Amino acid sequence: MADAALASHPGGAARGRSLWDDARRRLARNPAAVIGLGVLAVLTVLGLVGVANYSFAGLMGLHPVDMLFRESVSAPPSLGAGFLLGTDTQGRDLFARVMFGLGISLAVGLVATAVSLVIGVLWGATAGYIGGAVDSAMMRFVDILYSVPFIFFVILLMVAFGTNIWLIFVAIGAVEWLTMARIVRGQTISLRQKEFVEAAKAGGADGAAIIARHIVPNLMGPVVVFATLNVARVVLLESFLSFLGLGVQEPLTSLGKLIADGANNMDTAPWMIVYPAVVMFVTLLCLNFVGDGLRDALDPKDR
Amino acid sequence: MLVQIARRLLIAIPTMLAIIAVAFFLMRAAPGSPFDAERQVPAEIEQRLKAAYDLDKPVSEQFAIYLGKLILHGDLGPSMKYKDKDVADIIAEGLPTSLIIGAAAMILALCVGCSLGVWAALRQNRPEDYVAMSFAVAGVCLPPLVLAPLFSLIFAVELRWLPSAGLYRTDYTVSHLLLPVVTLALPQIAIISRLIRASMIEAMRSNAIRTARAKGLPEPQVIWRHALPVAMIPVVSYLGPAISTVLTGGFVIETVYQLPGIGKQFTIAALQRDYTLVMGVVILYAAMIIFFNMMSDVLYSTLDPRARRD
Repeated sequence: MADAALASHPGGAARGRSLWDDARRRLARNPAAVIGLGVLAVLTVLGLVGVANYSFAGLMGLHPVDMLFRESVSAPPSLGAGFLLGTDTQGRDLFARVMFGLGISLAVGLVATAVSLVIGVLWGATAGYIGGAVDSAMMRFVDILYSVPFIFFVILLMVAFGTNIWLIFVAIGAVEWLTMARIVRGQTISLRQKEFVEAAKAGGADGAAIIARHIVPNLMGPVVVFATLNVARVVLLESFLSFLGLGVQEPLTSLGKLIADGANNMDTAPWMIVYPAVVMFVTLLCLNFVGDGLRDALDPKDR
Repeated sequence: MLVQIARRLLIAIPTMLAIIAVAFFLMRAAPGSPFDAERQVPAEIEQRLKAAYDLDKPVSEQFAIYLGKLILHGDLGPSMKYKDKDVADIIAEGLPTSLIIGAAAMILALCVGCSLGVWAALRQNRPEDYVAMSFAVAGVCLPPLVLAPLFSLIFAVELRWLPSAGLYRTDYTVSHLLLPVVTLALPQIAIISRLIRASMIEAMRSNAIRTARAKGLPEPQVIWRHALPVAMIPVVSYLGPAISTVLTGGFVIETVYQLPGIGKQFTIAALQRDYTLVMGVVILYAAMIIFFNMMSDVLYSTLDPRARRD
């Protein structure tokens, strides 16, 4: 990514510091973002182990995600009994389940964001680059979609086609691309008038090549910031669907689903809601710190 | 301004039609029918039930009939699950609750969000600023889904200060509304305060403010009369999205706190294939979101001439 930005930068072949070198340096000076990145890395590893523990039950001495400990149903957290975060109402180890749910939530967030990125960047860059009537038609379409109460349609999609995890990815991604398209279009319009685009045109590059080689790499800044914050939004949206019983389904689980289950049992087993909620809070907090840090690093207006 | 409103209304008509069509066909594509739960009903009675609701006709014809009734008579039809109720009645019952919670949350979010943002901006990079902004970040990360159960756990179950649930029509008290409204408002407080902090910092650095100070205006007047109106503009353009978020966010709130609003009705209706009720709620929410987005955009371009298109 950094290489692409470097290559397309005017005079990028020189030994100068690229936008991304600068940004990396500024990011490293932002303690909240650095800590956020570190914690996110740890959480990602935990999530991966959690998902692996689902595929290969009993990995690394963890309790299998689905194993029922019938003699310790709704057991409070205790190290002695081997249940670090307690068990749920069916006697499943909450620690293994929270790790697994974290992995699934992050996966949903990443995949849905990737879907929205692809649609949004292509749509916005095309509209902004072509301009004129095509631009206003394409952006009017985005305006129209903006006024659709999307959560209803996501719910209707889930009801119509069943709650399939791939459908969740696509449905959420299809909802979230609109803002992306708007950001990308605005950026593209200002980039289109830059000299290096003119130079590429004079050199005989066609529209598609200019979009792919010159416009898109220069858009990466705002796109990366948006994507980071979007992962947090998608995790939230998925948890909302899970809460309504329309998110990921058993035997899978997600942080949202764990919180929803915990909310039903919070009088008798408060740990069932507290731990998934804390993990979700920390995850979202780190994503926001990193997103804000990236924004300051890439767009140092207030330096 | 009137031209702008007229143009937005013209776009709103096809938008509404498209929303209605997609929702209609999506709902019909869902497996099952409203009468699935009543398995013991003999086949011919089920046939008659379906005939009574036009469900025996082809889907496209059903759509034409539905649209015809809607446009000509404003008729949302009878509910397919609540036997003797019209969709309009069910919505009329739930709407006040949803609107009260939504409006109260919006007002709370605006008041607290703006004060917090301005306060933090005027103390930029001081400890107070960091405290306020940490609070704001936490607000975005503590969504209603997490807040609602935790609030009821703390304030209702443990401390017993407030009722955890149950807002009954006859018994509207502030204490019932407090938790739902705060829960709904908190993420918006966070977003609004961050928005206004950023734009206030930018406004305070502008030449206009330097001029105002140079001509010797007292600082409060500089802030309230010159900086704040400019800083408010991004908040105005955020109002439309904020209102739709609060309206749809009311969903979770209504479910968690067991409030009898329409958000809660929608999910139940979708799961039970109550076709007409689903359509009614979708139409109502789409209309409200289109309306508030339009108002927000019109207000925005009135306040900021630079934002006017063409």
